[in-house]
Amino acid sequence: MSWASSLAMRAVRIYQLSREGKPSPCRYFPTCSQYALESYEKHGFFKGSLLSAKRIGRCNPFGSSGVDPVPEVFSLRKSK
Amino acid sequence: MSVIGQILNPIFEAIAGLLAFYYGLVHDYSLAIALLTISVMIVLSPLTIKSTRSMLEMQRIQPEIKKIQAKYKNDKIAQQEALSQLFKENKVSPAGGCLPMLAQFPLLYVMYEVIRGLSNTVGPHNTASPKYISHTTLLYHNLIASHGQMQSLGINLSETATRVHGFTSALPYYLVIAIAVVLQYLQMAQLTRKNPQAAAANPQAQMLQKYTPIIFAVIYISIPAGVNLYFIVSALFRIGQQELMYRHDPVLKKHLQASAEARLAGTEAIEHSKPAGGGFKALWSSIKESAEKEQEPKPKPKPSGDFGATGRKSNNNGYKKPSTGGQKRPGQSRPRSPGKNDKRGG
Repeated sequence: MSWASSLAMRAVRIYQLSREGKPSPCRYFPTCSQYALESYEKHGFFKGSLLSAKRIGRCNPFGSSGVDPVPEVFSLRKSK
Repeated sequence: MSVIGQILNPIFEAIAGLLAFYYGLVHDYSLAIALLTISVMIVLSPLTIKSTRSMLEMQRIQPEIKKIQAKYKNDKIAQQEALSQLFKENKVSPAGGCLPMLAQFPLLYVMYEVIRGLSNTVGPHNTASPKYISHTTLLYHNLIASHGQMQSLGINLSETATRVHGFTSALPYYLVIAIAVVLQYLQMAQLTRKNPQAAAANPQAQMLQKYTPIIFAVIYISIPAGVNLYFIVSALFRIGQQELMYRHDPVLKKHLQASAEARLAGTEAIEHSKPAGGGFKALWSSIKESAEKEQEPKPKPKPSGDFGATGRKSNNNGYKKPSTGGQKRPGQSRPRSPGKNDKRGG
């Protein structure tokens, strides 16, 4: 794993720790932060960041919701 | 001024203008900041009400999510189907989302920047030169007269706690921080206290909840007291809002009733909700444990082709790997801190 993605993952972990115990506002499963961790792990820093940014972008009151896992194959188009 | 500063400048001016307006009315810095905070919270409340409601609904079905995760530990597809079904059945209506929640952080930056900008001083003689507001406002004149100091409640609201020298003069600043931290904790606890069922499913998160205010305190000592005042007023507002919601919101009333019934059904589950002994010690050992896990060499990905199109990193995801020390979620890539994944911020 590149130093960039491990640094990014650490930042996400700190964020998660700071929100520990509060109910999650996330519309999706896994939550956006968990999604970010998984996408960094699967797709590396650049693609992982893009995927995570897209995920946070759709996690708004007008987006969809439900189960939304990290895609196995990187693609910026809508899955399914 | 930075690029971000330039983009946000109209927002700074709008907030500072509102502050100047309130200051013109009440002639007091802390009251003006309080009024400003309340205005901002009222504007945001349609959003916060909806997202609080959906957050609590999600929290309510959390134990069931855990059950499904445990049941379909080794079958990711079946797990997803079962979870989709659960969301549909319970009609969880997510109204908020991570994006609106993250939008609060720029707002904090705006508050910080406005207070810093208003108390801006230039030159060797610390001549006040407030930014963002019109030179004709009372706020501007008074800031010039006071050399950028915002004296109210016996403290200078534009000063940070760490820069005040002397125990007695710094004490009120730390008092403001303490009040902010306590209120923030109370607001958080209010959300979880009403739902012991969900809390019982996640004792470790509850324990951590007690210590997260320390993280906030570290941030608070390095920002102006006026921003901490913003935190205090907004926490008070949120506590009041949540209490009103619990009393009058039909969806939440149903939610509370359901959780009260569940409480009667299984009191022993709540017994477990108490953090397992030795508060700080237990927390420390859990952090140590997760740090040790991190240092563990990760298993090399085997091209076993057992999962997905590529099969890469299938081991890291733990789909096939036997559980390593209480790993609870198959989809979780890094089993650093098992058993507290479900209530994490999104």
